[in-house]
Amino acid sequence: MAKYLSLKDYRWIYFLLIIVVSWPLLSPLGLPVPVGKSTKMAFDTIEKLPPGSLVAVSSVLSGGNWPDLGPPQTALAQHLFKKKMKIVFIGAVDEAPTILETTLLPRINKYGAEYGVDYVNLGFIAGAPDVAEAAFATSLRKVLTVDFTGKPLDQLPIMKGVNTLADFKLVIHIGMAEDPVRQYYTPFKIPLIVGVYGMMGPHYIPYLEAGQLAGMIVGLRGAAEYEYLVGFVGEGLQGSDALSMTHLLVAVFVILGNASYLYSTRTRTKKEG
Amino acid sequence: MSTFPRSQVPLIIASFLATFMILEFFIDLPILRTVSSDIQSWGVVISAFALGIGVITLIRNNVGIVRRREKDWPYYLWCLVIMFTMIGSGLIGPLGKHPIFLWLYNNAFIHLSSTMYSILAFFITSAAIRAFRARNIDAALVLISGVFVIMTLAPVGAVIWSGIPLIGQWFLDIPNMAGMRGIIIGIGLGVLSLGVRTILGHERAHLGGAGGEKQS
Repeated sequence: MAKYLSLKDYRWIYFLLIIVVSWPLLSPLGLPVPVGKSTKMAFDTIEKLPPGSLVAVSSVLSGGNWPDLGPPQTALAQHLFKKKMKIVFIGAVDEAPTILETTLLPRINKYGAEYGVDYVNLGFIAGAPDVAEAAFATSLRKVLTVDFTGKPLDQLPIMKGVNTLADFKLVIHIGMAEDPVRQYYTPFKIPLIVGVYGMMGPHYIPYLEAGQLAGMIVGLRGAAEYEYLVGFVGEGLQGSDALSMTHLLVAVFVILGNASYLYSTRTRTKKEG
Repeated sequence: MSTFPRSQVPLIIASFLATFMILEFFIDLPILRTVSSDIQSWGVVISAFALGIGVITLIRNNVGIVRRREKDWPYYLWCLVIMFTMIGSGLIGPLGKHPIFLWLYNNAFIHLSSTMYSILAFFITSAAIRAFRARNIDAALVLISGVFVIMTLAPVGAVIWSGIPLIGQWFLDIPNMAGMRGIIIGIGLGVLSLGVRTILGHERAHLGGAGGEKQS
């Protein structure tokens, strides 16, 4: 019994994990997606903004973190375009503006939004995310003179009169939550929504409860909830079943591992006794 | 100048800039705001230069390894080939939108990067199974709360039993938040003391090299 439950060869677990991830992706189970409080707060914050409000979206999105951070940013961007907001995208890491152009924007419906008038990609500001975010917030015009395509900011109607973060109605950050709380919320007191890695969600609950965050989308699961609210089927809802089944597999194996541990402990005690 | 130790120069610069940025945060004066914004812009410029230095260092190291035919040299050569291919295709107009660059980026780079990140799933699964053992009461509590939180974070938890998300959310909102608040406050105090040590010149780790303590 203990031999079968000991789970010594992890290759079987890896094999099962591949099956459990692939199966719901190929044949969706359609499990319900209950919407969490932090996701609903983010959705309501955007819903309350009047159309045409200026929104900054900064991110540390890259190919590596796309599975966890890409779907939240996609769902949020879809909502912003649907609500006819004026969106200013900015990258706090080098890959962010490229992945926005090549992967994110082509996937969503822009509702006829015009580049330079309704949205703009300002490219990347060098430095660690903290430095880039601080510079963007306080001295945007000093560190940026052209957009991602090389067009001067003064020629872009959306950037008219925009000098600091104080000119925005909302700021969204995709990545970690500490940096934007420090650089965006604390000095400017502008509503801040974050999209964070799934494993970091519990870490940022104190910021949410303290009112420093106006909403939080936690990884793929949060993206699924947000997509459900927006009415957009993206990677979040598509991957939700796979996420569920993976978590279930981990929980089952934790229980099996403990059953094996208890069984072997008792057997050893009996032998010694 | 010859009597002035060179190692003191970066310490003085760091102390002055750190003191200035702290003053700007607490004292609302236009002149302080302007100078602080300039300092932040310098940070961006210096970081941009650091990127260039990184590329030059990478090329120098890899070319040296390939020339000397050191162990695994073909990988270093491949790294250079791919780097120049990406840079070259990215620079061909329209900037960053050339079909070769887009094909490489969308079909190779993103998937390779995502794969590296996704491998975490295997490590986390096996680590969770190994670490979650109810060896004593404390471990049993971690195990029980962990299983509830895992199932709360997956939509299937509510399908299995409607009580799972309620209990899991309680774990997240009450014990987790209390613990995290303590950790965040602890980190804040640690950063504060590190800042004071840096301003006073006692902390030298940011200058590079081994050891962060001032030798007296």
